[in-house]
Amino acid sequence: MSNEHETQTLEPITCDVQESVAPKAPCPIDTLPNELLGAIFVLNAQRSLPAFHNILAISHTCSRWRSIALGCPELWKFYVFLHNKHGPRPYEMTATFLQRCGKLTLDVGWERLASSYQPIAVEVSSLAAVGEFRQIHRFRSYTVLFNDLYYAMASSAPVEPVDALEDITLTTMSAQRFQIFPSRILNSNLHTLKSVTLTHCWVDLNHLRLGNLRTLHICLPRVESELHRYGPVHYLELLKKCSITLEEVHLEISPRVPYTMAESAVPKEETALLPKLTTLTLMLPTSVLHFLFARISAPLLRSIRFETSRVQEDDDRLADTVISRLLTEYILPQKNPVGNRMCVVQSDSSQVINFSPVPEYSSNETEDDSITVAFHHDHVDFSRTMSQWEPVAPFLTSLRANATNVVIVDLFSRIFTSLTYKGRDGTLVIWE
Amino acid sequence: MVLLLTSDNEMFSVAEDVIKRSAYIKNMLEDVGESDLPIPLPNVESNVLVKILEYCEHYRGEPLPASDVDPAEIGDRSLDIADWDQKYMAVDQEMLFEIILAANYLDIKSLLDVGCKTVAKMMKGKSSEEIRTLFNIANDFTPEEEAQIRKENAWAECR
Repeated sequence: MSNEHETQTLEPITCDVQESVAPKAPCPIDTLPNELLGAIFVLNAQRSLPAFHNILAISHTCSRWRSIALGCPELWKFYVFLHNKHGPRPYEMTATFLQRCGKLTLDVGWERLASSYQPIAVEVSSLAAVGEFRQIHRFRSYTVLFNDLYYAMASSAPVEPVDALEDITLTTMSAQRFQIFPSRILNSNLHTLKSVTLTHCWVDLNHLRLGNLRTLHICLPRVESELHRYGPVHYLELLKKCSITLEEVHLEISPRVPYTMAESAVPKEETALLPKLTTLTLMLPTSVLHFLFARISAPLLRSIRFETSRVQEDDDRLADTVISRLLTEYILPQKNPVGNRMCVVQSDSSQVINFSPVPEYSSNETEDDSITVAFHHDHVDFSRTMSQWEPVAPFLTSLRANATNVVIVDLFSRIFTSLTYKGRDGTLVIWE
Repeated sequence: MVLLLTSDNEMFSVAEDVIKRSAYIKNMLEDVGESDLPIPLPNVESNVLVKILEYCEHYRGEPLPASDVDPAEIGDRSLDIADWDQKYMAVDQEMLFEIILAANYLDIKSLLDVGCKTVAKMMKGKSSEEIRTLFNIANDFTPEEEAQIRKENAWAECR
């Protein structure tokens, strides 16, 4: 932009100036019309308890703002079923906020729970009183902190069919507690689900239509006996049910998930193509990891994290196969020969092999290039996988590791340095 | 070049690709075609238009928002504001709200978004009393409203 142009554009070319004599408004924000003030208020309606207090403060500022705020359903949809640390807040509050939401669908998520949430026995009656289950058909998102009391209510309360739910999060908040969500709450014809998160909880996913699912997050490090029959084949079937839409998958399952010869015999030709999957986290026994990894195809995968633990019957070579496939089918084809940056990091945790992105990595390159490969402390296992690295190593531009273990330091520098120098020069960083 | 006539009778000659960031002007130019007559802007004063044109100049050449977007909609709900936009919006309150009104009138969605976010950020984390002080707003609640507000505050404190 030249100065000449700027002058031409910004300077008035005729000056028939008529001084404005209108008095300055004592309260300039009063000049904004209601619809703009409402739009500004809505920007503050975020999914958090501090935001709730902010919205309340806005509605307590003056009569005009209060009138605008009370007439703006978007402001209240996150805050209808708020809880204090022992359970639901007063019925009158719920009823008042519900009224303010009009007919809007509701977001009943984590923000409704205080950080010190410790529900006690009063919750059963309180839940009934506030009518959470009567409004459940209006929930767009629903987060349930699952305990015995909630289960008792959910199993018996009259429930309207859920038909707008897009996002459900079920958790017991404790690895020591496992709960199964009553299927009666969810309509089997529900086709709006986009995100399912199960943490120490289960819901009969076969009962649901999952054709629009974007995110599937299952964390069951301690699986109860009822789920022991749910093996790798079932998880594969689950992925197939939502294969077209899935963008993010996190499976963290107990080592006790059954893996039988019959399941391993499922032909690899039955690959599930996940065309939109970009983020994959699999924290599974090696055998299950191997089974699933051999049967899914995800061309857009950008973020990969594996943690695998060997159960007694697992063959070590299974993990090597997974690594090989990961390197040759996912990491290597994405590598741009120029400007590639892969980070090799020794993992802090033992007994795991991680492949994960490094979003915080300071790099001018795109996220495609930000991949961390971390190994567990066992340098014997580490060295055994080295042959898998040969095709990838020429593209490495950066090596990072914790240099506390002399044996591993020596191994890293000896093997990786030689491999890396095969294809590139001058950019290697070791032992930062 | 496009001629614009402000409410205080000042005429501005502006490059067409600059002012087309205003959907209002863009539509008018498409409807009327080329004309030597100035476009009157009865709701925009010259000092505000100078500021609006500074914004349009800065984003000259950048893609225009899709025409089918409802300008009344505030799209991105995060309160993040680009560095340049933050500096641009570092003006006194009177000018800030004039910019928002002009952006609304001229239908410049991105500028309206930035203006609304700026005001939303000013309110964020403040009590009602602090908001009143910030914007010089009088507490004009009726006793009935005050009673309801006290009740709502008790609900909010119910931890």
